[in-house]
Amino acid sequence: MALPVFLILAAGAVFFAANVVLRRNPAECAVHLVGSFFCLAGIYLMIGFPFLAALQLLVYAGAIMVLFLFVIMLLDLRREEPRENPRISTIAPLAMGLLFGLLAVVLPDMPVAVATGRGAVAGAGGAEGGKELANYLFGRHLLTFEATSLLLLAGIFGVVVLAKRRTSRKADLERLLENIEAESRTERKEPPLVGAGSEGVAS
Amino acid sequence: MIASILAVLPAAEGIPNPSIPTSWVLLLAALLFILGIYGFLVRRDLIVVFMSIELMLNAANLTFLAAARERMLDPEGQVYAIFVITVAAVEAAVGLALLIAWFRLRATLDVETAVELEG
Repeated sequence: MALPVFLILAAGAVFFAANVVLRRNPAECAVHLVGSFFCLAGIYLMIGFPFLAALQLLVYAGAIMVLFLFVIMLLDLRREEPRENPRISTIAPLAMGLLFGLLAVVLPDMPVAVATGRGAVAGAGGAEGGKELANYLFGRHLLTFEATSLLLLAGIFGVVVLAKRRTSRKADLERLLENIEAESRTERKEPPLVGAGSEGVAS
Repeated sequence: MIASILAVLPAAEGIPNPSIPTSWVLLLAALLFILGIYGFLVRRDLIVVFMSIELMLNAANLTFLAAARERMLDPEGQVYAIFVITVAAVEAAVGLALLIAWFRLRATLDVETAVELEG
């Protein structure tokens, strides 16, 4: 019974992830990313990690996704056009397929099958598993945990500094205009360069 | 080799849902990671590039948990997964702040406009 449910969740995760990568509209991508996170949370639950499933839903599907959606809402994003340079769009799928084949060959030989782990299988998922996890997090990994708080603090400062407007709105707009002008200049220049270029895109 | 994956080799006894083979979970993680790399390389929209990074981090998490499951639900793997989630949250916050600062100057998130290394 568990296997079909796992397969459905796995298929859902892959489907949503593929949609994130393939859809042209960023808002659609974000919604599909939430779907992928939900499927993964279900898989965490099935393979025996209820706490991580809850964390996945709270932090990923909750906090991080809201952040993404807010940014998409704030920035007026248009549909993305495919790359002008088609080389990467043709090479990348081939390379990814190759990589996946390689991983599929290597993965079963991964030496993780240790029958005598340190986990408390008996009470896994219940209160015992949670106790074990807490002992690890606040015992053996206490220093890393504290370092994490430092990382979060640095992140907060970084975000405040980055998002703060240092110049006036007028200066910002002037800079934006400059950038757009420079862009259109390179766009005007580019076509003859590509046509006569030695890149050899066409033939 | 491929056949050895597709054969249903149940995981060790004593862990939840032993009928789900751990190698399938690892395979799913590999697939998600590769989709993430693909999006990272091919997409032009910077915000979708960030989403691809989130996908890759998720796949890494799934790998940690699969390995922990194989070790009789070792809490070590769960602790690493928690740290990965924390790092992902910080990365998303800082990355999106960077993205907003960039959008203010460019009015676009196209990565192909990022061709010069000056603010």
